[in-house]
Amino acid sequence: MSGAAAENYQAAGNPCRQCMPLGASWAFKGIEGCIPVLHGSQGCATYIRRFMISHFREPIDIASSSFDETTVIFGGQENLEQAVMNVFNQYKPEVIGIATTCLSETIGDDVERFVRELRMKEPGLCTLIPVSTPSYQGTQEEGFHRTVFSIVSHLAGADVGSDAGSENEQNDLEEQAESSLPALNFFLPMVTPADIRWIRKVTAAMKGEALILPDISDTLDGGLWNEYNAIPPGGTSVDHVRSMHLSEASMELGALLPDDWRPGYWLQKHYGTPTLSCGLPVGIDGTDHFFKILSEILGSSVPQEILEERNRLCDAYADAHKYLYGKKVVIYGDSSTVESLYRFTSEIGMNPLFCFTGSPGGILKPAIEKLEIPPVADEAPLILEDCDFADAEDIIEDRKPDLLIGNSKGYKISRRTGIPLLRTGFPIHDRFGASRQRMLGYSGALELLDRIVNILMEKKQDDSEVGYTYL
Amino acid sequence: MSSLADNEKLKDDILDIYPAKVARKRKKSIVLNDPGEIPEIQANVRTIPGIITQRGCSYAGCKGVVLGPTRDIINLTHGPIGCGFYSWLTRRNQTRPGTEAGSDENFMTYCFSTDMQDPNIVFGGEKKLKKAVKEAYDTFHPKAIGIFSTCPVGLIGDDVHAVAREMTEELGDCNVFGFSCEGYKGVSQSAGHHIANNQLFKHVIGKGEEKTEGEFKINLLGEYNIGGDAFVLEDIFEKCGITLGATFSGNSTYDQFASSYSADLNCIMCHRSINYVAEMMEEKYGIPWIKVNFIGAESSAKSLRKIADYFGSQKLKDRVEEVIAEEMSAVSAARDEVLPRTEGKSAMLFVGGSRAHHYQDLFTELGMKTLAAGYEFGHRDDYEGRRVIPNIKIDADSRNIEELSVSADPDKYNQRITDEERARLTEERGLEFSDYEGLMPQMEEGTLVIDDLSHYEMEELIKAHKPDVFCAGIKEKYAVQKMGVPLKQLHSYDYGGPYAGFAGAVNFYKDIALMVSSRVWGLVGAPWEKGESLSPVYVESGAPAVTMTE
Ligand code: SF4
Ligand code: SF4
Repeated sequence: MSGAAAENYQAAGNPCRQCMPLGASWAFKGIEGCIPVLHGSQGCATYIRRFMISHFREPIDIASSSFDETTVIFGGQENLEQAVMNVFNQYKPEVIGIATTCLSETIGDDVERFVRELRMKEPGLCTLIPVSTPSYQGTQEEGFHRTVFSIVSHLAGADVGSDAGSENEQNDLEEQAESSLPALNFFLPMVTPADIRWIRKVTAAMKGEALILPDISDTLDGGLWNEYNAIPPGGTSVDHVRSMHLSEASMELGALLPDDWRPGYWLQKHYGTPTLSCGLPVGIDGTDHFFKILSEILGSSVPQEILEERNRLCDAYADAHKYLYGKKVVIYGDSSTVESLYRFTSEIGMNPLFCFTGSPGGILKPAIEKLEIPPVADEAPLILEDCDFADAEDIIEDRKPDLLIGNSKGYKISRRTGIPLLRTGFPIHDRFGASRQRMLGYSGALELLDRIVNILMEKKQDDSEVGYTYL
Repeated sequence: MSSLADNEKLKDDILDIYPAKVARKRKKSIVLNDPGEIPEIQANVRTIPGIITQRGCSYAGCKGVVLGPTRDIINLTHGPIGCGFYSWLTRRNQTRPGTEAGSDENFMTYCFSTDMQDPNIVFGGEKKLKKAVKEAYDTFHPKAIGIFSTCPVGLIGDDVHAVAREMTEELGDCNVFGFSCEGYKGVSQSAGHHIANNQLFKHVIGKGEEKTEGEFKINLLGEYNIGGDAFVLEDIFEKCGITLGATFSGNSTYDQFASSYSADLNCIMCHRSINYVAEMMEEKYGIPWIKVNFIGAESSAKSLRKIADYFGSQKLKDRVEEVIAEEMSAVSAARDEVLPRTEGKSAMLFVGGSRAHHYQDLFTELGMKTLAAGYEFGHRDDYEGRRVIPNIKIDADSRNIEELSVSADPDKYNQRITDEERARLTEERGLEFSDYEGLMPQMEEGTLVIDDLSHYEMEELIKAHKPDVFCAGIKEKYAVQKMGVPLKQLHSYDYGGPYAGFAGAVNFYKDIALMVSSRVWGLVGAPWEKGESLSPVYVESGAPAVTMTE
């Protein structure tokens, strides 16, 4: 889209965001033994399944309460009850996560009440966690964070939420918690399974135990099965979530949302579990900060092996500088990925001159402004929220960057302009290994750095008439 | 591994886990086939809430499947962002815009959505919709714009048809039409196909000038050019001297749809998604229809012969035989090469509304047996044949879909073939008009035919039979592969394609041979996990440096 037409374009042309129940399903997939049910017409569940499956290349079961025309008129309570009971009977899950869709929200279904009533009727039922996710109010990011918040606020602690365990159970949990390594709660945005594994590994290396919510490291990046599993193994167990208030502390990484949707903040308010907040540990600065906090809470020092990683990363920064310095980069995707990559690309000497997200809501812009990173070039970087690819294309053409970093949906622009695209974030439907991409920690930064340098080298080499084999 | 004889028990075991009410309902959709006396199967009924289904919604069938492959109609989703985003360029249908000026439009790579927000849900979204139509028009000046309703739209009462009429008038040279394809309407994509085709029939077909020139003019209905299938067929027709007026809707243009009324024969590939259009075109324009199948080399040859028989020209018949002979030599060579690897192996197909039938022909050519099959959104006639249509119960869901009343067009009706000629062709050449015999007559006795296979049922089938290849879509792919069975995607092809016609058959043979002989599955589980003894062989002097296998 170009010129005046694009400026006033109210509707979305090539959007850069997805919808709330996708984020909800993502979060529920990180709970052990959990099957998500989307309350609405079956199409939403099918689309979201297909979208996530194509990215993770793993089985992802999401059920639906399958509305028909009469449901739309009379409300969805009966459908939801049927859906929950059928999922329960077929899969014997430990948790059923229920997220609403635009349709059930528009007709005004009160899912919290439906769940309360169903639980009375069927006392033998597994844990049910409802969450309200109307997509006309937010994106997959909000859907994800609201769901994590719902999970914690329904389960953690004794007397809050009807699904919390009995007092006896709570005592057991306390004993359990005391006997093992100090536990730390981790709340992260939508990061890859490989990055979640990294969090667990470094926490263990620092003599702590990481309770990560949600933990998709196995459920969405598992191995082949020797035997059949109705629900893929892995995920944060319900017991662990129940005992989260007993942890040493909570760490919120890359929490950009308002306090209402922050589970760590909630735990601190209700149970006094101390909560620390920092940006996602991306790049040297970000990771240094992360380890400082971690070693303080756990009272242990950063192991030699990790320091060596840091040192190798510094060395790579220095070596890569001649390829990266001043290179112009455009970053897009969900707010937390963009914010992290803004910090990272600035740190390695690139010029992130244009960043955008499809998420509205005044999250990304203030977050980046708060960083107060001095711009690399004279021109201040342009940060746009609620921006779609149609609008972004004109700006990209105008600013002529050397590199685009973001999800697969930017490929059209990359193809037309010839600017290379490094795939990160979600969705990645046209490259392999999305779940194994790393970004967090010194080692993650090194992987990302290698990829950035190599894609620029490749471009330079391909464009050269000579065909140098030495760059 | 169980045999077909155990299928009765397998069926009971599957049903066992369901609550009584669900079991009763599912029981009618899971049948043991008997080609001698085709049993009744329950199909095209609502998926039970909480049963994880392969099915999508009617919006998906309308916008994604039928209109998705059209390149010069702007497809505008009216609704919140998700529905439009998820249907943005995710089916691998291909298109080939023309090179001359004005024919190079291709909007397939765009996603247009009104992106409804809270206030639109509360106060209505018609204003935003009009604006979006106007903006799309101002930017691209398309010939036509289609508006697709998602679930909330029907509920808040936006009248997309009124907006469409108003905008058509206002814009003057752009045909704007709306689709009431809210996801909750109908039981599956199939409802959406019907809604889409009805609107195309009302607003586009017959609106053009007759311009298809040629001696033997046909339309191809229900071919969506996944993986370039339609390209292969276009080539074959050209070789044979058959003029292809319009394809619905792979690699199509608006103008081709508009003038499609001038063809002399409609050939149907996917019976499910479009048979009613063929029926309506016959009534309104006098074009007869036949069922064809270009999946499988033998079936492709058969379909070409049917077309030649219809036109009756000796010249065409000779040409068709020449083309078949030419193509078949490459096909036989490819087949001979892979047969040793594929013969005796087994397959299951659960996909679409015609593919689960069509692709059985290819497996037969590979010497592979189909153990179980079923559709995602088929109706009873797709299983049992069109003869059961008068007996199909019309439920609330099907009643929802508009039935157009059609009569002969005063100017454009032209009966292409006399009733006597028709009868003679059926009698002498075995050419059946307006008929499709369905999937079941072709399947062996005792095989399982299951409609709307659920995720759980799929897992039980695989556990019991361990087929050598399972055909479905991306949603099923990774679950099936976790269980050690390769999955071939047949919605959007993986591994490549095209698979239609003769060249397509060769591609398919090769891909399946590779899949069934992959070594990956043998690597699951480390040897020590499997209890194999680990006795390292130490190097002795004179022994080779590398020994990977004993
Ligand atoms: S909201 Fe309705 S139209 Fe949109 S994806 Fe869901 S079921 Fe389909
Ligand atoms: S209706 Fe809402 S929840 Fe469903 S796919 Fe569309 S945007 Fe997402």
